[in-house]
Amino acid sequence: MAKYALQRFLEAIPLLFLVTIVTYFIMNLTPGGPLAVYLHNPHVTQSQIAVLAKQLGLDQPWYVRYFKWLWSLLHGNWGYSYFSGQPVIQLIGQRLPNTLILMGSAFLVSLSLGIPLGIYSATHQYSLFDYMFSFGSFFAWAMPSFFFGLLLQMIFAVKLGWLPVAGMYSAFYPPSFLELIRHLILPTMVLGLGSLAGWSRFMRSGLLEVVRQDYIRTAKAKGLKERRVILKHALKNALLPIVTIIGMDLPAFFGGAVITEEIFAWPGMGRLFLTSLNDRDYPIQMAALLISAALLILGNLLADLAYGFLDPRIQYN
Amino acid sequence: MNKWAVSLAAAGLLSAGLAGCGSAPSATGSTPLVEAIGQNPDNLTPALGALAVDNTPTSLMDMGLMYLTPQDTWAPGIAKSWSVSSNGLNYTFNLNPKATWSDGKPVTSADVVYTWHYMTNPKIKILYNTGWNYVKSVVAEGAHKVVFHLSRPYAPFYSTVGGTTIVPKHIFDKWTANQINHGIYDKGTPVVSGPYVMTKWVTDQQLTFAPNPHWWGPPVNIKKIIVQIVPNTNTQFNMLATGKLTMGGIPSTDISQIGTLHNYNIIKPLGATYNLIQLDENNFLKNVVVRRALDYATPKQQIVSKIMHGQAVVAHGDQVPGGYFYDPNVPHRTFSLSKASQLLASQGFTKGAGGWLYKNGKELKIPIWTGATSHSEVNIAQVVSHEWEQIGVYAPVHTAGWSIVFGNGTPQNPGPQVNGKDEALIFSWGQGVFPDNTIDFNSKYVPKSPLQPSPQENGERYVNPQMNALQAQGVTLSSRPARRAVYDKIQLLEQKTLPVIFLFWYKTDTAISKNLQGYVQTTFGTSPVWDWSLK
Repeated sequence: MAKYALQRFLEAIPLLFLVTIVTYFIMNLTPGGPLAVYLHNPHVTQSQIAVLAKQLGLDQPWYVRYFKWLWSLLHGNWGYSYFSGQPVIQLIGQRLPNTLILMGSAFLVSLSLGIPLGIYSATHQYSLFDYMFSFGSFFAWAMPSFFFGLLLQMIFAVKLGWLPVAGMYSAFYPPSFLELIRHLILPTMVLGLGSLAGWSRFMRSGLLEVVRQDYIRTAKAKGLKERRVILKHALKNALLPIVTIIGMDLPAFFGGAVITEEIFAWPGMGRLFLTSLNDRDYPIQMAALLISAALLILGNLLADLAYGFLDPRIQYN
Repeated sequence: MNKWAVSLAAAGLLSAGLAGCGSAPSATGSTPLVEAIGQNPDNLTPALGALAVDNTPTSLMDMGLMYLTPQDTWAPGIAKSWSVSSNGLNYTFNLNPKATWSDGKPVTSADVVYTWHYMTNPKIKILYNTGWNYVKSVVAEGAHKVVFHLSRPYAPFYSTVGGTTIVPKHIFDKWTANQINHGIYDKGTPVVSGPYVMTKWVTDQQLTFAPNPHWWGPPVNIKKIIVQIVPNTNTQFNMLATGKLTMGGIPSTDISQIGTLHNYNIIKPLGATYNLIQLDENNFLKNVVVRRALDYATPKQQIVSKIMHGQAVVAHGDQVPGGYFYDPNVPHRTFSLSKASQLLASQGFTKGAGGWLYKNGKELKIPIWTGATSHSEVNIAQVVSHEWEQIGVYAPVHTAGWSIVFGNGTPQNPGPQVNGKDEALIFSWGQGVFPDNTIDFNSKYVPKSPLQPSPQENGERYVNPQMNALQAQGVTLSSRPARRAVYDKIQLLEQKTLPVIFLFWYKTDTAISKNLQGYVQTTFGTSPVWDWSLK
């Protein structure tokens, strides 16, 4: 398996390289550019803009800038933000752990609730719970995260006063684990809800498909308990398509964090990425897109590796 | 007790415990002042920050030679007095000998001279150095006196140069331009000359300030100031509703909820930003009567009350109302579709195909552009389009990202502001409280080509030698009353000839905690932080 993982890792390198070329090219196609913000600024003169363009290297063709950026990247330098002048790696380093905390907790909540709920719903098909659960999950799936976030803020922070409105820690207390948990609850709910609803639906339909197969009927006929049939024989096979979806959803958590972080003032990568998109801060945009692409590749790799655990027929040699 | 009851009890205890954590007062014992800004500051190095939010932290830390009071007058900063020579070429500043940097070193004339070198150093990414280009030299006369020698009289000197943050020479001298550009100043505790020092900056979360131990001005009353970074305005409002902020702006979407803010006073200061419709002076829009007709057909009061929810006042010109240079006597046009129709008929326009107006077989079509991300401006565009179409002007609304609207585009497809077609463009303009509008309406600033890399602010292509001459006087006369007379003439000329429809000045409903004393906010700024106190 280690050999297979290494092989996939090596295959990912040219793919990431291709991603960087395409994204750099597309970024430069978009109208405006990093200095467009100054075109409408009464204090910035023509000569200042020309000086800035030269200082930032924006007076060069995009492919020249790309290869300079790539060369720096290969030497461990992710470049500097056009606006703050700070190293991109430093800006990411300050925020990536916070996004991983949020993503990780949303992922865990979605997984730990979505799978059991899907199983319960499938094993109690057409029950009152199943109908309510189906309604609830479609409702949650359809709920826009910006609206849901503000709604939760209004109920749990403003009206009930149970949880903080926003932020990662209180402004008035030294950071602590308990404070982090309090601040994490609402954004986790918002970020994880869509996946929770989706995964539980896939789990339900996957399991329903498997339990109708002959080998399950055989297991039941042999007198195995329902619980053992489901958990021991049906679940593993039903999980196969879910694993693919979960793997593909990994970058979606990263993307979803953009809105969640904005609403809950969570100091993560999503806000940095959004600001860099608005400002056309290419070095940060490139870094964020590269991380997103790497997450997609990683998610797929993890899903592929998980197949081996779930289905013994799959070999990695 | 069954297992469900145990689970519920545990959940209840957990939520009660979690809820209890946030309800206690400040652990420090003294109440901090908490305000929110919408973005992480990009750079706190003097003159390097590009964001408006940078002003909140820097106004606590930085001092210029002088500062503008909420009453639109200049007050002593690092300089305790100043004077200008009769020819307007020499400005003398006497520095306050008590002025000290936060590391205990004195502020001297050497720092002021260094600031001049700093502001004009092409290797440093200075964004706003307007006015410094007229400074020929800065001469130190002893430790506490400096004289600025200008290459030509420059009336906005105080507003552009006098208010610039003075830079600590002994700190910046150690660094290369590259280090300064990459934010070395922001690491740790910056050395400043203002009333507060920054003790902590947690990226994207908050900045914390404590009184400057070497502050030399009036004593400050608030022992801790926290600037929280909260990007979403609705979230900011929810923080106000839970009492977590001492002050904060109220977005127009939350105006109806203003009654829920019980422990706040609501103030409505006028901002120094106006909203306008810029008309490209081309084809039919070259005709001043057509432009006047469109002005009559624009429902400004309706826009203010229905779209801006009263968070604006109707604008009649580009000088901030209540300011020294504002002329309240400039006549203005009130909304009248019939008057607009009469004016267009007088110019030979007649109804034709589709119900639109035509002249010499050509349709009177004026597309309205605005930024896609601005809800209020899109709504304004639709309302204006509706009214203009009532009088037969075909006015389809187009939206695009602001960088496209203001960008140069490509030679084949230049941006709407620079392409010179018959178009209207709705946007906001941060005019500021100072009167000079050369960059906006002077013929020097007409875009020369779609790809010209310049601010190109005269996108309406207004060319009027009389305006050029008046603006030149406005920036060179050193007598304030004489300047006001010039700007009175400019405002009248704008009303008669400018291809701009001024819509409104923004007002920002702001909630101020009833515990905060001494805080005054007007169009011109806020009272100095040393006047503030918390009950």
